[in-house]
Amino acid sequence: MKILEIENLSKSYESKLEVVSDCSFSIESGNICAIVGESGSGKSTLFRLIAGLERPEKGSIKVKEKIVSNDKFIVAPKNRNVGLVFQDFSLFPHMTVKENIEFGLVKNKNKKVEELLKIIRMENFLNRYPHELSGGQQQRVSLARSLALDPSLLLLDEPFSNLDTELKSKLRKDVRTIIKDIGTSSIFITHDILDALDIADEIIFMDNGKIIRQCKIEDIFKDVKNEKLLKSITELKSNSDLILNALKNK
Amino acid sequence: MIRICTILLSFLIITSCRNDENINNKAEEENKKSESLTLYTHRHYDSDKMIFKKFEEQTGIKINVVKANADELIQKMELEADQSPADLLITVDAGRLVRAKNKNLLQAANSELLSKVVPQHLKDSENYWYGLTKRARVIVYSKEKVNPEELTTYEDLINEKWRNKLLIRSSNNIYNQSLMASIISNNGKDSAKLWANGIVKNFARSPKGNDRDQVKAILAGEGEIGIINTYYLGKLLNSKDSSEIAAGESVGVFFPNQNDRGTHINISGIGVAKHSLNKDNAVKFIEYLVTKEVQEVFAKANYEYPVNPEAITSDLLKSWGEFKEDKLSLTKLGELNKEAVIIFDEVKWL
Amino acid sequence: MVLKIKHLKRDFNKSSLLIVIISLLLAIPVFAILISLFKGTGEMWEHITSYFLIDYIQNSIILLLGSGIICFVIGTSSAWVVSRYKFKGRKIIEWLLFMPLAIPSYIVAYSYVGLFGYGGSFIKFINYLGFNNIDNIEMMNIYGLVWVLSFSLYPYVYASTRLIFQSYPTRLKDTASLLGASKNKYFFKIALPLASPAIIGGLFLVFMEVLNDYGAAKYYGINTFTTGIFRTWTALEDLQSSIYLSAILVVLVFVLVLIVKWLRGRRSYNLKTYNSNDQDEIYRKDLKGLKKIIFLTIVFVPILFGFLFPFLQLIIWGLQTFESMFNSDLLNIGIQTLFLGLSTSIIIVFLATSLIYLSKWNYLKQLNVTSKLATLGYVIPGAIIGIGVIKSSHSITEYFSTYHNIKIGYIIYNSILVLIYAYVFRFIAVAFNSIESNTLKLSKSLSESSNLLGFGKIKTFFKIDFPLIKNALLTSFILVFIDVIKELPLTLILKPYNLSTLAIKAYEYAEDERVAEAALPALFLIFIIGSMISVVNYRFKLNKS
Repeated sequence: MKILEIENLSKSYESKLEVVSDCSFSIESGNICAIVGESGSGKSTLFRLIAGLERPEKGSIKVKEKIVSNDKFIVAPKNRNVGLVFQDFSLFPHMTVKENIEFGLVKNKNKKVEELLKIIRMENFLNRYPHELSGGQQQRVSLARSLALDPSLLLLDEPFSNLDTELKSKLRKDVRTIIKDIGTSSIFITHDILDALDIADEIIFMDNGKIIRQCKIEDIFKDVKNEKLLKSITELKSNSDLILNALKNK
Repeated sequence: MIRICTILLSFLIITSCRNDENINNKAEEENKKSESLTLYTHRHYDSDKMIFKKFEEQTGIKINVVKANADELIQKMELEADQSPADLLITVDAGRLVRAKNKNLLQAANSELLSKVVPQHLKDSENYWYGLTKRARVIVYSKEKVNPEELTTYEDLINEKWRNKLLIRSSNNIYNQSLMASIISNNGKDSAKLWANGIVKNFARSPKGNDRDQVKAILAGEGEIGIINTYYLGKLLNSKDSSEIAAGESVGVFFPNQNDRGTHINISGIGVAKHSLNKDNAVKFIEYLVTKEVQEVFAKANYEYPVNPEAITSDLLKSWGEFKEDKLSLTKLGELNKEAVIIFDEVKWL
Repeated sequence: MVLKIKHLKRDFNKSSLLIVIISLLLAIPVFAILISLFKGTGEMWEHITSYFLIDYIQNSIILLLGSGIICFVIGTSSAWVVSRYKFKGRKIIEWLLFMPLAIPSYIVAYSYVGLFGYGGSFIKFINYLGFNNIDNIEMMNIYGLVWVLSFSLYPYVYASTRLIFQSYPTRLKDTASLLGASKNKYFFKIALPLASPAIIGGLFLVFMEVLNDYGAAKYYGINTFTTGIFRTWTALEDLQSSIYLSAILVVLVFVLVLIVKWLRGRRSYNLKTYNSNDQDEIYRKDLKGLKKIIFLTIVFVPILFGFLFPFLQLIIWGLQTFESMFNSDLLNIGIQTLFLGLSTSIIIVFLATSLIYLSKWNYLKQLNVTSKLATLGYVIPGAIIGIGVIKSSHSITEYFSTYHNIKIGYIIYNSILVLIYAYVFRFIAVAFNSIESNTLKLSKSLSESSNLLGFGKIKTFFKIDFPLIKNALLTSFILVFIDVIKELPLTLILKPYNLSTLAIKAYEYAEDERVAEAALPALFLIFIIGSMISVVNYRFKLNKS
């Protein structure tokens, strides 16, 4: 089953250039997909369109083979069963960890919160406020909050960009385990190809609002003809490697 | 959440109650229309309130008062048209009454008593309005520096001997506009302009402040003579502030033009609204206001000159002496008001 | 304007409909005024342009520039001192710095003459000290007016700037000093520019108040654009031209608004107050030595000239007239004022919040322009709004009496509804701007997270936005409340006969040259506003701990 199908999707702001331009792709259920691209390439807007936070000019979006957005009608974000973890985590500052996680729940609140806290290993932080948590902790709470509703599709916006390198590789594994355990499909945005290589099943490259390549992670270096793409992949990889090595040697 | 709901709910209740209350009030008022009078007035004196209250006690007719500037009240009546709640309009100058009459907002109120009591020159020729009280615009002079024998007429104030000695307020003030209108009416437009020009030349300072401030400036020596309304001098002399009393006492009152047309006066006056449903009561009210008793209250509490010749003026007014007043038809003041302002602008009398 | 509506059917929702309806209802007076503009200028137009328009505009510009500069300097410097330094009595100083707002500026103008004019209280005092050669400090000129207006209006700049200064994270300062910036450089190159949107917002309110001032300018004999509008209307008997003049004023202000928008738009700094770890208590430094004296002077001078001096004079007058003025009538009027202010402010804050959120929820962004129409009221002189409102209600009553033969005129013209409607039109911009700038500070992703977690817009508002902006709502409520109970020209024209307010009472006496009698109602007004401001201060304190 396809969890997400996008056809000819376009979006522009205030009649400027199109930020997302005629994108089409689909993702198999149960997969983790990475969207890689430079900043400003339209990744975040694509996410917002999928979540229903923006309205497309053109094109359609199907989630679980049901149309959620086209020219004629649009399903509100709350009815899409899509989860989104924002880059800034967006924890409600006036609510505790517990209140944040149970925010969207209607029944079985305590049980579910307990379960999720166990998964993110933060059982002792129940009554803390967001500003009393570290960045990594905030992210996990935010993840748990989205997972509480059992979304059929989970979107993660730059999930690792705000974290330091040490934590990062450990957390990548964590995130993959959590997502795979729960069995939800997921897409995440990153500008670091290492993230993608580490946890994604497939990968989509975006540039200037267009999708330039979609492939399985194994096939990533096959048939790369686009010079810009090749350059950016190798550069990204060597950059990350350099930094990692430097840190390790230290 | 519950708290928010309660707040919103109570807010809704409050507003809706408020509306009901209003509509009920109005409905009641509709029934009582004949037992109340709605007064649009520019006068805001505490003494008036007592006078109205006494009328309510005597007749059982309730007086509703809307106080605002005459211009705004006239505008309001004009827009409200035939559905205006106003029964009577009171202004503090004749010009506005003339304007209201010209805009067809008043109606004639004929009454034998009124024709007898109110002198001809203090009312409308067709009885659309009547004067209630008089205010004289006089020259005040520094008792210390000025010999009153040097003073004669308004016209003489442009004499060079008063260069940099004359104090008067801004031309935005209606009393100055009326004075100017009377000069135009008496001397013609051209000589009025010459006069205004001469006055501007003699200014001790750029026009500012109110009538009281002109008197204070005389005491302080900024100027030697000023043009003010008598009733503000009355207020000054009865102030609670010793320095204000001192200022009031430092000046003498001179009634100009006693040998020709007389001192310029203005009135506070009243007219019956065109669309009043209670004309009879309204006339009854005007008649009450010109009775000797009420007129004496005006004179005593507010230092205004009564229009009813039988009324005895207060001791203070008596101390300034009897004077001959300009019998110019007050209608003229209203008609020439605009022309007066145009001249003010032309000679840059701020 | 490019009106490109692609998916009208898909994107049109209840919010779109509501925003148009509410905006248009609120903007009725604008249309009434616009329609009369088509009738052209009045007969006195030529006289106006050839004799006084230029002078009046010149005076207005001097007033705007002068008070703009002074308000900027004292507003920002005092805000800086109270939000960055520790000293005894800081809490009280913070409160007192707001207090000039409590006194209507025309009352301040009168009390300055009462203090420094001939026989003034201050003059008597220095004569008593032995300086006998001074009998008058001339206030009644354009510089005096600039002075009076500046010191009674700077709190607008102070209030908005203080909030921003207090929201600066400590690390901002640390970063700057690590980069080698001196304290002065930090203030002028970082702190001040970062606050510029707030400063501009505050200055804008100052400008509006200056343009709307009538009483103070008239008393001081200074002719401004606004006095010109009145002179044209009342003395030259040309309403048409005066509406035209107001229209010019509105256009000028509109240009000002666009400039403000442009300045703001290019510098909308995102100082996220809620989302980071920066919420640690603001670090305030101790003051010592010469610096202490200078900085305390900076906060004390505005309080002295803006509040203490006029307040003192009002107390003197109040005592003189206490016997005759203090009675149950005054108390009654005070209660009426309070009630009118509270209910009107609740309605205004409610409507402003609705407009802001409806335009967020509406996807046809082009329609949001209509909400700008609704906030035009703040720039139109009160008396002209009065005419607009009466004209509009006149059309409504006309309609009813011609088509339904129901005469609702008596009800309309004598009810409080018209007055409240006019207040809403006049002051919704105040609430709108202050609430909007605070909602902009909220990260968009917060409410979006809530949407994604299954909550609709309204529930999201009550669960997420409301708790986070309630302080801002309270602040704007107070601002509106203060404006409403100080308001004069509209209240005078539109109030029903059985209503009076303290501001009106004070005005009636002042107008009749009995300023001393005006003192007690004015003091009552100050008391109400003062306690309102303390309530806000108290709440903020509670929320912090």
